[in-house]
Amino acid sequence: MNVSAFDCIIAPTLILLAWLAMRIKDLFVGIVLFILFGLLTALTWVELQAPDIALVEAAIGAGVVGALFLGCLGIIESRQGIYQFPMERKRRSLLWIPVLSLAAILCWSISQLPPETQGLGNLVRNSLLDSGVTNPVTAVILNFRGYDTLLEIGVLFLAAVAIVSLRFFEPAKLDSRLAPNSRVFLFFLQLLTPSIVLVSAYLLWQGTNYPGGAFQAGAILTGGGVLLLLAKVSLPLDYRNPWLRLAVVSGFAGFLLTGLGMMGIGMMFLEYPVTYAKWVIVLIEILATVSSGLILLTLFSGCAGFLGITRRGGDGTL
Amino acid sequence: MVIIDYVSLILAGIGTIFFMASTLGLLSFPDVYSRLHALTKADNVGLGFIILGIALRSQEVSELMKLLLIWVLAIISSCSSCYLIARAACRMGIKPWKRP
Repeated sequence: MNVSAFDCIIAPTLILLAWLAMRIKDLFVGIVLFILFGLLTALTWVELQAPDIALVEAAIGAGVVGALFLGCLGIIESRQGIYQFPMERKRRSLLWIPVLSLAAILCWSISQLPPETQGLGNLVRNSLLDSGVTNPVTAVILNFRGYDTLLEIGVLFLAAVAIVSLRFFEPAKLDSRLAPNSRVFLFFLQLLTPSIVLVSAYLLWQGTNYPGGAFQAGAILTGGGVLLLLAKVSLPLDYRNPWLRLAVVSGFAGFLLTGLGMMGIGMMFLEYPVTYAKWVIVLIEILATVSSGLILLTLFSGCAGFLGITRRGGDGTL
Repeated sequence: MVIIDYVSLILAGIGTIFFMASTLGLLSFPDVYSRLHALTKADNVGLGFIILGIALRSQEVSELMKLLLIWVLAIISSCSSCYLIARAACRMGIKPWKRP
């Protein structure tokens, strides 16, 4: 195993960032550290030659989840003022038990791994021609291991259902001094929104041959949506609209129905005919992109109540 | 190594120096405005040099265009966000630092 200087710097930095993000009193700083942690994790995936996971980590782990956290914090602070993590020392010390057990289990399972292994890599490479796509990652997540992805989309869908059912759409008070309604911001949006749609479509399409795919494309759409929400552009996020419901369920339903339809023509559940596999995958990915983008945006709007992030009593220092 | 590789390496090196300078500014400048200044000005130049360095090695025109697009998007987003943060800080009543 080769260990580069980069690894030696990034591994301890990741641990330090994770530690600080947990321990820091000010939740805002904690979230910033968490986003930083996500970006460095993405870099680590690049270093491990897993650009697909790096893209997901950067777009969802750092980007969307960071926006969700900031949105929640915005709501909490607009009601209570600057929020400090209230956990007492005693309870915190109890937290060490599950954390250390998990760490021990992980270390043990790593030590049990065979030192040099191809894993399922060769199997995937040999069957790649049957998958309809040439990016092995897309082949695995949408064809060879479709179950897993179907359930992932299902989990996302359930999260959106939960948020909508809670009707947590009560908008928090927006600090008018911070409302980003400036001409610079609008110009920025006019320039950026088409590029975001373009980049998303590009990632979706090239996912069949190169790193990219539905989740990355969806997360980027969400990013654009978050920007538009912050600019108070009204997006059609009213769940009384049946078309929105249809679009949100389309990822999960489309995937499931495709799988079941294959059973109708005498194949296995989620097995695709080799000649049409590419188009089946692209269709499922288009639906998954739109619905996961909308779902993540629903999560954000639910958590943030369409609110600008306000810091009361800040003095510009962290 | 061909000359073009050396040139690309030197350009990327210059870019890194700009990044380090801006980080130094971020850490040591006294208030939010001057830190924003350091961060958004020097970083964009640094990114520009690094992208120039990589662009020299690009094999295709499409690769070159993507690199340039990344730079342009980064510049636009960093100058807009710089302005928005500074404006928010200003409206929150944060006074610019003056030499005491």
